[in-house]
Amino acid sequence: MSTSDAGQRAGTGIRYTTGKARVIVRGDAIVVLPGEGVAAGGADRVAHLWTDLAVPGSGVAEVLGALTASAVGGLKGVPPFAVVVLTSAGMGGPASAHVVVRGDGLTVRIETGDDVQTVSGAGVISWTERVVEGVTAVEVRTGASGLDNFADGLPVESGVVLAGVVRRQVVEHAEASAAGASVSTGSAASSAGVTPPPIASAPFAPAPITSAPITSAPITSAPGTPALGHSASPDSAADSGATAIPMGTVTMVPASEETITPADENRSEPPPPPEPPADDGLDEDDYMHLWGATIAHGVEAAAVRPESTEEGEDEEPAPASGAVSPPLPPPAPAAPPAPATPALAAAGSDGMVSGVPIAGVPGWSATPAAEHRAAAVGVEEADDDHDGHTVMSSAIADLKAAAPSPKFSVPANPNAPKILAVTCENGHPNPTARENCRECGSALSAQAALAPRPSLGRMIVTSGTATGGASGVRGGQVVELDRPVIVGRRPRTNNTSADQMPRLVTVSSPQQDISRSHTEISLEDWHVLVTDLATTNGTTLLRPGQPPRRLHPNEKELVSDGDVVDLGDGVTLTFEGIW
Amino acid sequence: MSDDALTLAWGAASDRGLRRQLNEDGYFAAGGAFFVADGMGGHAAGEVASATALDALRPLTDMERVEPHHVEALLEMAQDRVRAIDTSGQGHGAGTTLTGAVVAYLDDAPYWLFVNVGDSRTYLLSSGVLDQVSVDHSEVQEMVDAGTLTAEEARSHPRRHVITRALGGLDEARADFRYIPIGAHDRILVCSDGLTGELTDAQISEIMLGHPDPQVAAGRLVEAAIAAGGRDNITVIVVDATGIAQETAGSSTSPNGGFAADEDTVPRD
Repeated sequence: MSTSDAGQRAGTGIRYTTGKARVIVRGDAIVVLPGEGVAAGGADRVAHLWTDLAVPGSGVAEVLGALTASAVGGLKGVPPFAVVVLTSAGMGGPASAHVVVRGDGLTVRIETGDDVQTVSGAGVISWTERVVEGVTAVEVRTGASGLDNFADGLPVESGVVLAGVVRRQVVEHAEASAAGASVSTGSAASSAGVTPPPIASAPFAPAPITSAPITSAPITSAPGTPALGHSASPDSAADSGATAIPMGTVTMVPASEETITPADENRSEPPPPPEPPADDGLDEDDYMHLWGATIAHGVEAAAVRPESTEEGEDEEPAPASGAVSPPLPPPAPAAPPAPATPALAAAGSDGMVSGVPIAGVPGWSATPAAEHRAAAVGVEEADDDHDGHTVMSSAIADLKAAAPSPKFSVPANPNAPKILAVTCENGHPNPTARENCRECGSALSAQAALAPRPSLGRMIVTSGTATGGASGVRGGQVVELDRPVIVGRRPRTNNTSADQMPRLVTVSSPQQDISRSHTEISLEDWHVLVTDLATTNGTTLLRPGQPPRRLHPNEKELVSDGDVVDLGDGVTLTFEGIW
Repeated sequence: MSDDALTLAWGAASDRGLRRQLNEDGYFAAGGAFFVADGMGGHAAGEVASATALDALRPLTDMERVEPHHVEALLEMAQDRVRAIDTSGQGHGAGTTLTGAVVAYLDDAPYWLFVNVGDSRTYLLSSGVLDQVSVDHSEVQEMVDAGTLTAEEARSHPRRHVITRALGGLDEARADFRYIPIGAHDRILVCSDGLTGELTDAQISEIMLGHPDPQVAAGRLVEAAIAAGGRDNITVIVVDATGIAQETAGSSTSPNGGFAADEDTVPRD
């Protein structure tokens, strides 16, 4: 086995053979993009992914989000890819692997001791996903051949390379260790413009980036003012009584690399304020000791009065603040071990992907049905039900026909709350009232149990206004109902936890008909509800066979499959696949 | 809209006030991220806690796109580090609030992504109106929400300093997030409760409106809080958003119902 040559254990780590696929290695993730060799536009995507992967714990969800967000033309626009995220690797033992593969030519071999399983993107429309425990090695192949001898590969620790095969050896292979010493300094090493880092201590560390390989994303002049000043010295502020700290300016440019250096949080010494009078007569009440002392309490402990020792400690002369050098921990060395990524990933977590644009949706105002509907809504006040007020279901069918919705299953939102469900043999959750699975038709379990809530359907957002060119104007979008949605001209959210964060869907409203936050779509159990957010011009519900109905402000209305909701200014929301 | 570079100008000020011996507040302002932390705990623990938590947010300045789950991951790290602070057997551990905003793009539109744990606050001054963006995680706020206390009573309630969420506590530090689109000439204020404990929203609004320079405004706010008693540490960041396109122009017909947030929506008919 390995001799005295400690630290050179070539038997583990990540190695690759040179090829044409762009491979990003960062943190616990390996992302393979075979279509992105040197293609234009690929660099942007690679740069995005690189940035995303810098976040501790980022994994499959982030990668899927980034790849699908930039896709044009629905699922077809999503490029082939393979993502491998290993957790609890680098500890010497087997790891847990989360693997997602899309596209024909890609295969991932997952080795668990002597067993090998292969995951391929062939034959499926979306992608193949697998979570495997006890993984000793993972190999992604873009062609037929593999990396037969691990030691023959070029090492990479963190960076972007052009590769044909990339292999991550978690547990040293018995055979590999013998050959470990003969690392061939490959001929093609520099072809990708990447200097292979030295074979660093093998257990993969998400530590310093040894090469800085991002092909620079187009940096639209980002005239940041990096010199966020240190100018104001503590004393210069003494006359103002406050400790003035320098101000600065920062220029933000969307989707460009920031060039701003972090400002020094210059917590300078305040000028000595007048000595506080000794805390004698606390005349107000016996809570006076709380002045300035913020106390954290659990809600449960709310009734408990803070211990009286508090007072003594807080008012006791403390060591001079100068003597207290806050032992700041060193700048984050990347991460704590990444938490296991939830088994399923969302196309875009946390509301960033507001929809998948549909290619080629005809302008809605052009369809006769839409005009009919517009007329019907316009004369609503006439209060006569039989001259066009009732929306014909055929008219709605026309509307829906104009917006073909792609049929593919979207992975569940990893942060989805759990709801009561019955599950089929393929693991699809269904409402308890159903007898067979809506997705695959197979029988459902008799026992209901809590399961992550799947998407509750889709909402197709259409706008009657021109969608060409102008930024901020969005045409047809399919919004997956795996989380709440707020639709408006300039929508905003309320305060909420990250996992409840709604998607924000911006629609254009040239007539200013639509309010900033106009309509909210909320999810409760298996139900989709729509609410008019007390808007100026209201929200109208068009339901087949019923007259158009204006929603009451701030009242939730249950959505049925096929409902169309009209926000005005030619913007409608069509609901499909509602349970 | 994406053609217009968003420019942020900011100023900040911090003071230990008149009654406290240490300044346990801290702040961080760089690269589109603006946060204030109000530390607590015996002796120097509070000061260390606030600095530690703010330091954990530094990676935000390097991120091209920020989403709530990114911030949440950093907050978890901050939580762990604050918990690990040695309080040398002083009984109660170190903790800190953490409040602020970071610029985040949704599609190509710039948004404030507001973040809050605890009772430090963020305000948004937009079109001349100051609104509190964050909701305090405090006992008195819960009483106000439950209708058993008015906002005015809360200001002088004896338990007004008892907070229900903090970084460093035993519970999970669940943060609130909120997206608000950045408007032309928006000004935000991030501050510790040493400011809001001394000044009413009306007083804050007056100072914010009266001083176009963000550094001057920040300094004046701190001075005013000291003049009003200065019983706690006071920390303030004022951020101005400029350079972004004015929202779609249009006649600002007043709405039917008087909804302040929609004053530029045109009623039909």
